[in-house]
Amino acid sequence: MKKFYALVALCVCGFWHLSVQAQTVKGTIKDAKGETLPGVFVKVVSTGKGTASGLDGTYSIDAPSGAQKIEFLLLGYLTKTMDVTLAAGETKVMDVVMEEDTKMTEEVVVVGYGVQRKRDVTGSIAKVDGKNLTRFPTPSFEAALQGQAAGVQVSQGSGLAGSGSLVRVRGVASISAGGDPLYVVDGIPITQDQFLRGNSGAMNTNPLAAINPNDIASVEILKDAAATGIYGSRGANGVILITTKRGTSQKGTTFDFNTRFGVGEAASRPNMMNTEQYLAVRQEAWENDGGTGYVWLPNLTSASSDAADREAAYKKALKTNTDWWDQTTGLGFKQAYSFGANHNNGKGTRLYAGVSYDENGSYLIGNSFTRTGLRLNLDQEITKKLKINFGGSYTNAVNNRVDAAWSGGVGEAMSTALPYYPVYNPDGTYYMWNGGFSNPVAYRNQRQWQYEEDRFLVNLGVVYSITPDLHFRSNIGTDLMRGFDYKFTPRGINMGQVDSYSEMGGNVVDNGTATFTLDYFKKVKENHSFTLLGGYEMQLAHTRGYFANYVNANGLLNNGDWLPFGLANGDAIPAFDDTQDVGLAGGAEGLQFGRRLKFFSVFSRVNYNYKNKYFAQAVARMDGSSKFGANNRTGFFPTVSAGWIMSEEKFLKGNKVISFMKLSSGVGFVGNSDIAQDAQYGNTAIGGIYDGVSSLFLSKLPNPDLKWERTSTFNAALETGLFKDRITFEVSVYRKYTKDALMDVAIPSSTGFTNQTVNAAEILNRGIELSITSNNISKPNFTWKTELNISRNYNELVSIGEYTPDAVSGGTNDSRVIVGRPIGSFYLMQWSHVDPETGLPVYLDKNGNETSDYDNFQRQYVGDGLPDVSGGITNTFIYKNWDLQIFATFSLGAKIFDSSGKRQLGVVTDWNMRTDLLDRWQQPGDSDTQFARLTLNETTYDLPSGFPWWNTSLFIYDADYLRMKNIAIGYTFKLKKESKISNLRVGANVTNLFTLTNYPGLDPEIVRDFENPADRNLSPNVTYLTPAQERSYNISVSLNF
Amino acid sequence: MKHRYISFALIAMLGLSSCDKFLDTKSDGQIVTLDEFIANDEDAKLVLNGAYDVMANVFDGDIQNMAELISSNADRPNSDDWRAVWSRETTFFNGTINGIYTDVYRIINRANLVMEYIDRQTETAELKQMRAEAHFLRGMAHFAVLKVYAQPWGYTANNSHAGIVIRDTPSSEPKGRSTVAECYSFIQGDLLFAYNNLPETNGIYATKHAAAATLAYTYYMQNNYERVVEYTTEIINSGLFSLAPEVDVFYALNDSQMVYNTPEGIFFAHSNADLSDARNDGFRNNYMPGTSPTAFSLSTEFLQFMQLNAVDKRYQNLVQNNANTGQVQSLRFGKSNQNNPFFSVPISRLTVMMLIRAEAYANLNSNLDVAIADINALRDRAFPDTPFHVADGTNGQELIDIIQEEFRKETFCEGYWIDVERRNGAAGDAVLIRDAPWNCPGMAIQFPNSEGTGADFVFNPEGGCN
Repeated sequence: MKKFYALVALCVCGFWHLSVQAQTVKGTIKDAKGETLPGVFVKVVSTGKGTASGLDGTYSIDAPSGAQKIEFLLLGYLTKTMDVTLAAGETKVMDVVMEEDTKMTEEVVVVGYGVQRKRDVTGSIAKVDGKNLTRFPTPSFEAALQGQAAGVQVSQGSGLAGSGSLVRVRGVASISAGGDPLYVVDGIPITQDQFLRGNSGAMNTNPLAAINPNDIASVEILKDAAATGIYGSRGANGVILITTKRGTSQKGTTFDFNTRFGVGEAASRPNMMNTEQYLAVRQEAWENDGGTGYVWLPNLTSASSDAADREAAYKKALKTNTDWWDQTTGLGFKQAYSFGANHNNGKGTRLYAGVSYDENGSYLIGNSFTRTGLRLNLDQEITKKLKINFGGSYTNAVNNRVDAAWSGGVGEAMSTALPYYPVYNPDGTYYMWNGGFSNPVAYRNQRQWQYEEDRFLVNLGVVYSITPDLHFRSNIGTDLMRGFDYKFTPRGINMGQVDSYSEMGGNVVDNGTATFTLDYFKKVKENHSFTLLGGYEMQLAHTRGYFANYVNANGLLNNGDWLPFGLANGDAIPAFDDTQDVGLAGGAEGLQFGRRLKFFSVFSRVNYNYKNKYFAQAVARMDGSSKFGANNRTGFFPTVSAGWIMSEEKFLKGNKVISFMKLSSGVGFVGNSDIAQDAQYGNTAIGGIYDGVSSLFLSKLPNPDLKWERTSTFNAALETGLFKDRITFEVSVYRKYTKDALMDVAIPSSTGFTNQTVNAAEILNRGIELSITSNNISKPNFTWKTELNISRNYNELVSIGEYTPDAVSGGTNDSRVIVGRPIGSFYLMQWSHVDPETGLPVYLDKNGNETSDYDNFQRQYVGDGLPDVSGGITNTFIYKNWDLQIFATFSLGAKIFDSSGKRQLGVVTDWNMRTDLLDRWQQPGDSDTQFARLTLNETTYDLPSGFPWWNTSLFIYDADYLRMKNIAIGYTFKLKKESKISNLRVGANVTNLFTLTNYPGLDPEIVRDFENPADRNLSPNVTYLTPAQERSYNISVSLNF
Repeated sequence: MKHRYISFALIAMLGLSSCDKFLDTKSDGQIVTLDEFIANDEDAKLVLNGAYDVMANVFDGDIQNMAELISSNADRPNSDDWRAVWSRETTFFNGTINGIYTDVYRIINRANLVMEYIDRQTETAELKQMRAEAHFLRGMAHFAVLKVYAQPWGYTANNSHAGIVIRDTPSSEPKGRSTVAECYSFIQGDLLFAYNNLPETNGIYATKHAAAATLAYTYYMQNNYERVVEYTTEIINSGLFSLAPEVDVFYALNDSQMVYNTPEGIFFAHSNADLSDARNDGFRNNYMPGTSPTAFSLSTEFLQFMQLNAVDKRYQNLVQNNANTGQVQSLRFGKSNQNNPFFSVPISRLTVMMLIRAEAYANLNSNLDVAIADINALRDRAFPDTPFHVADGTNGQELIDIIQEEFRKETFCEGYWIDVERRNGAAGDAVLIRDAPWNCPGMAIQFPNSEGTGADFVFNPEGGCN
């Protein structure tokens, strides 16, 4: 690029050839690496006359006699002024070395409350360009971060439209507190609670889905304490800084338009049994258990039915074979449009405006997520000293919902929807089971269900330059979120529900942040410079929830959202801070709750730069939070770090192999306090009325000692560029040790309470990360670039105080907190083998001894869901006008717990089974069968009577995979210079084309619905009827003009 | 330079001033420390009432059912969780019984909170009585848990086997189990304090006699017959309680009232018809006959036992061999939903006091005439048409056997019978309860999983009864 500037300068300045004078200065101009520089503008200050250096870097210029100043200018280099004294008629040779202006040429990264040159950064920050977030359709923008940065593990959510992903920066360092990174949009920490709506319908409403990826210019992921320290008590799990698009720095007006169309299908389908297979398996189980005649069949007969009835039912069942997967899945259609306008009037006004529409239909019939977004970003220079910047966006997101997983729909297709159940009765009514409560087609067709979210993200910034080096900045922003879930089940949908009912669950979150900073730049002598930052921040958030349930309603409640709460449409939403039952008329039940967050901080950052070669940074932040207990109101989080650009040293300067090398390291403390806003408080509640007298009780214990988790972090990184940065790589090692990790422990029932949040655990994460970018081939007509990132993380739960593994559990997922094992460990009975003689299961107790006893006391660590190694690899090829990008992600070393497998492959019950089960014991002598003798009776496997939940390691699988995440091909049209169109590209891509894995289930990349943050931390890679991801085929057009 | 320093200083000051006040988001009903919970005597009364409220919820049949289902009286229940109790193979994942356990300890927690509040006050007569009521509730709640979650008194010679967790403060700290001997000592201490400080009458709330009745029963379990006689006699002689006129002790078939508080009740889980507040669901919901099979039913062995005397009203009126459902059903809590739906559940009652006193006298071989007279009084109610009296002069084991048979007939479904079976087993009899030894491991219900999450807690061994 610099060469380009030089050539341009040569052309521009070439005519400056002055007539011969008596005195002359001449010489050669080179850069710091000794390479000659053409096109340098050389000017005699006193006369203003100039010339340019030639292609070989030489120059010659005439000047008046006496003391003169000669100026050398070249874009991308620091202007150099040389003194020279010329005698009359003298010719002097003066060779010049020009230093690069790294400020202009180096990449800039957002660091939190400011920007820094990437080369100056002493912490670990990964930058992802916004373009990479819209390359292919994803349920939500954070899913597109997968495989983009080392140390950032992203597991994409299920195939449900709008579902969230699991993002972990350098492992998981929390148990019951949220383990997700902090998301900050244009300086405003946004609402990111995945559990505002629990896991209704087997889906956690994902607040990030409403963030419009088309608005994003770049994403910076802050990974270590040196980078996240400025976020203090919220930085321990990493920080994701999202910067939205701003108006162009070039004068003029440009537009861009992008569109995409596609279809999606399930990336894989389950191997459920057909009627013949299921009945045969059931019959075999019946006979194994000593039954005679035909087996009884759910919903048709019972074990006590007489033989003739059983036979008739069996034969009738054989006549139906419903593929419930086909009944609940299909093709999802996608279309997306975005239009952006960029304007710079050259007089201090810059504008970006964008509008977009994205409709993302999933392969689950009836399920789609539609996002409509508007954005206006304005930068205005009021005076030379005063600038304002405004950012505003509005997003409307509509999720047409269906049941999934345990809640029904496709989950039912993989469980209780037996293949001999027809969809319809002969009379055309729906065939129902489970006491009239089940039939996924009936529910989908008759129930109305929609989640709608409106979101405003607005911020106003002011920059006042008190002096050229001292700036006052303020940024006041708000994130207003209104999310409402409406569900209407009409009368007579089934036998179980006689009356119609209409439900509404709403959340309103008003979240505002105000930040005020002063920054000061000071250069001391030639080689020392300091940047000081001091700031104050305050955040207030008010979360409210509204729930109403009307019996005998006529339809969705969205025409009278607020009527249940005694308000008319348009009335101000009431403010309240406690939980109240709302008495509603007409048989309705209502509940509302409110929670407040208050947060303030003071922070400071000092950066020191010596010779553009040595860098040091110190950061301190003090946070006060209403989440902290009364005895721990404020926390202090200091970090220090340093960097050394070794390639600036003599011993490397000019090295033909190593073009850049930087070593950086940092240590510090950061925190995490992502817990419920009122976790510290005890709750007094009104109890039952006994004989007419009311009562009072304590529903939750207070914990005034509650505080943040404290993570000490060490990071060291080596960045290297080889062969003029043709190959660059970065290696980082880190160690994170978390103390006082928050645990919402199950406390003994004998206390009269069930749970309490305490600071009790210690967690270790350590790892190594490698990123490589290699420009393998760089020919004018063909380029090939490879980008690889790979991370290895070791996670260990070091201590949980005096608690036992069962103190914190991942919901129903059988994951527990086991000292010495990773967070996310599965705690089950260890499976050994099938006894070849009896066909019965053989387990292993904690001592490794074989046993036929299924004993909950013998549960043990049987694997964990955390990968040892994960990453992504992108190969980009450009041949003439064609471009091809192949992007793959991989994960090694994690296990999957197929929690639904224990029903699909265990005791034969009223669930359909998978064909894997056919590899079962059938007679004495059958050895090496995967599954035990079939049975209808759970006690055959020594399970407690009535509990066919076979929690053994039999359902733990390797989750290794290599996934072809995206293959994209495009053609960029050659346009005539006079064309008004500056760029036109058409492309096509396919996502999740194939996945290499040994996992026999649906999808080795799993993010199921979670019950709470602890479940989210503890139960990665647990699947429970979770819909697989989708495979999508898309075509796209991009246009700039 | 100067204005720069001033700016930084201002920022720092803004951040540090009035931080605590700013960060306080506590709303109504939230507390920062435990001692904020009960602010005054009125609050304390409400909390104590809350203890009664939970007590009436779990003693509405729930906790009694747990004991009954272990015993010989019960047939196989139709729900998974209860079936695990019946088959003596409970695990710590059993949600239903874990919920009942937690509720019983909620009584204890509330009682402890009240006592802890009173400790901080100058004790008035009113507070003193509240303290006594709290002691009563705490003691009776511990005793109810002890009876089903631990092996009985006499399981080991010195009763050093594991009992239950004693909670004597409102602490959230994990605790291990005390021995059965320690548990009895603690429970009797509570009940004795209550006995010494409670009035003879106290509306629907705890009285001296309520404490005496439970205390007497604890001594009965310990075979401490002198004490049994002492406390039961005081109750029987108080004149405050009289036997229900019919064998339908819990309800009055001929009473058109919705409410029925049996005259023999010493202490109740109290229902209130005016408020549509029934505290008998544990019994009614599980035993009330209808078109569907009832959740709980009686064993065939029990039916045969009752059929030994076909004119016994307790058989005729209270046991139903239902051919439609194939169950032996109990009518003790009503024949239909029309029968006094708001009856109160007598947690202690006169019949039981008479029975255990009779057995105590028989064991002491003293006042046998009083024992026989008490049994005959009960038989007069069961055989109103043809008197069926115990022969004068009956004594020794023969008399004890008669008394225990009456005990079974009078109390089935109430959770008492297992106590007799266990006492006999501990006394050396080869007692089998539905083919399982009286002291097999699964006879002690398993504790909730949470009990062991924070301490070196010893769970009960599971199973081993088949």
